[in-house]
Amino acid sequence: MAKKLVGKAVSIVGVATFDNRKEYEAQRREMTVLSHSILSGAVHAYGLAYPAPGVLPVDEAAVTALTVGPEGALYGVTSGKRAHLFWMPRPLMFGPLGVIEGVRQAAEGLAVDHESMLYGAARDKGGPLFRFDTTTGFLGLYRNRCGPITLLPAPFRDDGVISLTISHDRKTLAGIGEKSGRLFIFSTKTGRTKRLKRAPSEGESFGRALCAAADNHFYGSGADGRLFRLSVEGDIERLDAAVPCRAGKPYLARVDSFVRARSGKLYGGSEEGYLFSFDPANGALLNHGKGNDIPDLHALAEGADGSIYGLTGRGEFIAHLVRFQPAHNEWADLGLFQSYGHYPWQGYQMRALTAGPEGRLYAGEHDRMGHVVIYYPPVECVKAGAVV
Amino acid sequence: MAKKDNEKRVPSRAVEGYTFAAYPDHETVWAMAADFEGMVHVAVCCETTGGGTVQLHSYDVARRRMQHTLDVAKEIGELPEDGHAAHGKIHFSLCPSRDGFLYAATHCSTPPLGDPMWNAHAMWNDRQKSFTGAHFFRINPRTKEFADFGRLFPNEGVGVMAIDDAAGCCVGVTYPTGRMFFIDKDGRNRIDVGRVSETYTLALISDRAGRVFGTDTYGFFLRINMAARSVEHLTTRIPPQLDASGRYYAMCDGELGADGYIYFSAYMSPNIFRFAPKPRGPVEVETLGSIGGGAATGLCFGDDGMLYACGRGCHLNRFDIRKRRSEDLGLLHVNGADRRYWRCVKGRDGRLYAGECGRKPVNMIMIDPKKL
Repeated sequence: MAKKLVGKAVSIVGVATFDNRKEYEAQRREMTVLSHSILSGAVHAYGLAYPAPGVLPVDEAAVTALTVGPEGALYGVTSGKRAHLFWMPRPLMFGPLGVIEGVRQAAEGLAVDHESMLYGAARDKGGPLFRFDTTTGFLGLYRNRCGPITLLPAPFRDDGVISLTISHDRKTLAGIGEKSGRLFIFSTKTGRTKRLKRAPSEGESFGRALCAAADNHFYGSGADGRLFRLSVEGDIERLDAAVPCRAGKPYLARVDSFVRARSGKLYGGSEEGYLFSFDPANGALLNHGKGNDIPDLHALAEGADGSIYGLTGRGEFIAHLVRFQPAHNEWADLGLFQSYGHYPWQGYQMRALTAGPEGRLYAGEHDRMGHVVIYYPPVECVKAGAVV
Repeated sequence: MAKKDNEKRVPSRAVEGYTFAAYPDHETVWAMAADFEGMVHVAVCCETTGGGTVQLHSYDVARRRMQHTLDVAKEIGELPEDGHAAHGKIHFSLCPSRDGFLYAATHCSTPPLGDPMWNAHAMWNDRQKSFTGAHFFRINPRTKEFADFGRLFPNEGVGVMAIDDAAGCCVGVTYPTGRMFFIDKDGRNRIDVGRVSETYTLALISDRAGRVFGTDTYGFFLRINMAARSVEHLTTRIPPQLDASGRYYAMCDGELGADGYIYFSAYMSPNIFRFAPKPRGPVEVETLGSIGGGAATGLCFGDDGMLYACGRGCHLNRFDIRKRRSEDLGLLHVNGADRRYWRCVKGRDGRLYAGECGRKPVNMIMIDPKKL
């Protein structure tokens, strides 16, 4: 009788009705297997354009890139009929930072330099770089006087920028041309752009992402997935290591995303969905396999416990959040982004992923009513590591 | 709750049923349409039996004769034997045109052959069990001239679609991602607008002046300009009930009234609403009253100007839009069972033709308001 009463008590405080705890846990396990959505941790989505009128107009709110500034605030850029900069100093607190004049499609990647200046780039043909002083963000939120967003010379006249990153010393930007695969570097100190040749290759494919390592070099991939090293002066060196791929498919071996772990290793995601780690100190590359059978591991971030989180699937696929725990060499497909925040929202086209304070992860929905989705990993995944 | 034996029933003289006995596994009719030449078209759907495919039927109102018009899956080349989720439904996407054609799109949620269930998200792009994608097609029910314009979006069904002959195009919203599209009647110039809803958009009602109205999952209004192929998100929202969280409180069914107002119901709500379909600015939604309980479905005006709806389980209700009062006409008991319907159209003979949902084999119910 007493046991039954305990069971009833559980049913009152819980969501479902179960006779006893064992049954509840069995159902919970079954749900975890059956559910297509993230059940581990919590997911909250915040609409940029929804419900209308949102912070940004519908059709201009496809989140393309996210980064966390030095003060812990989230900055993002959108694409659509116009591109916008926005920020989120803390969850539930949004602010538009302005329209990026003349830009419709933004490049993947935002970077904050050593003087707290935020940089981004346009993916439009002949589109500019742009800069925003993050120290003016609060003015924007409280006095409607943020910015300005300064347009800088375009890196290419006949191409757009597909991705942008900043060096370890936060003084040099590097980017890749979307169509040509040409590289460029931009000195935030002098404001000068140096256009380089394309990544060393014999073929046509080239990587879509660059990563800055602690040695102050950038790393990327060229044809057949071979990695290269780019110095902040613009010197390119081809390396022996190559992005993993299926046998006979080196033309698919390209890096689509990069993140530098606190260990100093670079983790890369390939178009085929492979995750690999690369140690710039000794040139060793290790293939960690895939989190699921969905191709295109196109965004990566490191969690507070050292787990590597990634987004797989875009375009005709819907995005899954995957997690690789290097300590256990273990993968988990966490599922789709289903938010049960202040209103439920399912995100399908997720584009950007970045780690924030207190173990949070931010993801961006790349659709006309884009949302910023905050993923709160389970407590054990936050406690296990040094909280950022 | 057990039904009372003495529960009031709709007079049997006023109702008649047609049983689709040839399809014993089909249990729903999700789309009905009355065309401009006096025929009523019925999409006989199979939602719960793996491999079931939608069967399009046409009822000649004048001759009172039912004909099988199209085995849709067979004609579009999506046979259940290929293992993918079956094209088992046409869901609120049967659009008669003045050119004599019926325009339609298929829908998902029917499991693959031999499977007990199907999950749109989990089986997305599954090599074996995914839904291949809704087909947009047209058929002339008289000449049987048929054209399949192919798949619209991989993995997605079309939950609702409306047509505008003057603009020469259809507008629809996909499931599960809530993506709006426009497509010309000749199957060309498909415009992918992007997401307009979290998931469901259940109704798209034309004002016959070039605009189509609907809501998103949370009941926020959408105003669609068919000529411009554009959509506007309005701040207007369906007045929420106290017990409604807002999700799925979407426009569920509706019809343009003779007074120019659009009358509609919301998903799982007994309330009848109306609004004037204004070309710009927010629309103003009035709550006219309730049909008493349950969900008001299958809204249809009779020749008597009354709005008929199914609600309170299997009850037929008559709503007087002038007096804002509902009358329970009794339990809809046809062919030996209580029937519930979600879609209803008026035939040229003044009878109401309703598509049953929830029983095998499924029925088309014919209601004569004059005999009620």
